[in-house]
Amino acid sequence: MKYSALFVSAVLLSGSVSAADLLVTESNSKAGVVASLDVVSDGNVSVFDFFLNTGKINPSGVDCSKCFADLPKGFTGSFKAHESGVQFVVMADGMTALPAGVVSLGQISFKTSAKIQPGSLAIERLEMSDVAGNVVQSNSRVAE
Amino acid sequence: MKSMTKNLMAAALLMALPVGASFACTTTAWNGNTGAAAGAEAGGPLASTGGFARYSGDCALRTGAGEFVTDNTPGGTGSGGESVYRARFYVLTSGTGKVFSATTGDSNGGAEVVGVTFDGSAFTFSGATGVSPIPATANRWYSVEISHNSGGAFSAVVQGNGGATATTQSGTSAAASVGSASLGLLAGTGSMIVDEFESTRSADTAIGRLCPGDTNASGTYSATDLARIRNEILTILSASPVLAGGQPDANESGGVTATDISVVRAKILALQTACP
Repeated sequence: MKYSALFVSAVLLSGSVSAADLLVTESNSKAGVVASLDVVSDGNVSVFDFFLNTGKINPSGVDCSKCFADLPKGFTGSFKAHESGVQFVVMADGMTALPAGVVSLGQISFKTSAKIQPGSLAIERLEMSDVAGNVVQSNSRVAE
Repeated sequence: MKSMTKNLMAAALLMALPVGASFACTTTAWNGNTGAAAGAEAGGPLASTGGFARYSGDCALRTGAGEFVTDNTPGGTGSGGESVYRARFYVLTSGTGKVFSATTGDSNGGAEVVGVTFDGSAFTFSGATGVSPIPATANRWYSVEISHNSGGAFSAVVQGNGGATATTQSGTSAAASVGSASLGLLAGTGSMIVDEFESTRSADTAIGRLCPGDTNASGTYSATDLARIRNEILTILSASPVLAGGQPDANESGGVTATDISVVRAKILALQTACP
C-alpha cells in the first residue's frame, strides 16, 4: 500500500492542512509493522528532516530498503536507525521542491525482530525548508 | 560586563533592500586604525567582494603582512587600560605570523601585553609567560580566545579544523593593562583571513564559539541549514549568488563544499542536532 488514500483525502478535505504535512500511515501484519510515508504540500518543500519515534526497538530490525522507493528524481533520502526510532533527512539535490500535492516517499518496515509495539509511532522534530532555506510551516500526522 | 564588540560583518542594510542585495563590508567600526589598515581587505566569498573565505555571515578581513585593524576601545578615552581583558577571534591559517596583539597604548602603541602568532604548525603566545604552544593545521579556520588578567592568570583556548574539543593552555599574564587590540597579519608572510572578533572585560565568562554548520542562528542543525549550504554551493559562481548566512563551513576547512552538507546531515542523522 503506497499510502492510505482515505487518510490523505481526509486530511486534504478537513481544511486543516498547513503549508506542508508529513503523513505516516501504519499497518500491522504477521510480518511486523509497516508504515507508509507521504508528504502533502503546496510545492514548497525542498529539504526536510524528522525523527520517527518508535519507542524502544532493536534497530537491526528496521528495514528501510523501500523508505525512499517513491522519492521523486532529484531528491536524496538518508536515514539512521536508533534504539528509540529512526532519523530521516530528505533533500533536493538542486534548488527544487517536491511537487505540489501528495508525494509518496516509500515505506518503512519493522520486522518482528525490531520488537516494536503497534501503535507506538510518533513524529518528532519535523522541520521542512523551502528552496531558499526558510522554514515552512508544517504538521505531521500518524494514522493506523 | 560591558561587551566591546567589533564585528567584521556587513554594515547595516537599509530595511527596504531585498535579501539579495549586495553588502558593504567595512572596517569602519575599528576606531583605532592606523595606516596599517589601509591595505586590509574587507570582503567575502562573492566575486564582487574579493572572492575569499569568511567564517560567518558575509564578510571577513583578508590581510597581508603589516596589514591590520585596531580597536582603541579598551580603557576608553585618555590614559589607562583594561587590567582584565578577554578577546576571541577566528583566523584562517593561510599564512604565518602574528595575527593578534594587545598593547598598552592606543593604536597598537606601547608595550605588547598579549600576542598570538601562528608559526605554520602551532599558535604561540607572547606577552604572557609560561604558555605552551597549541598545535594547529595550516589553511583551516580556528577560534582563538585569550583571557588576560594583569599579573595574574592567563589562558588561551584554541579550537577549529572541525575538531570536537578545544585545547587550553595557561600561563601568567603580563603585569600591564590593554589600551588597544590589533587583528590581522601584524608581521609575517603570506596572508591571513580573520573574522568575528569580540572582546569583553570578563575574567570568568568565556565569549565562546559560534556554531559551525548553523546557518540561521537556531542553535541546532536541521533541514534549513542543509538547504542554505546547498544553495550557496550551487549559486556562488552564478550571476545571483545566495550566501548561506551564519557559519556554513561546517568542518572549518576554509571553503563551503558538499562535505559541509555531509557533516551537517551526519549530525542530524546521529541525533546530534544541538550545537556544541
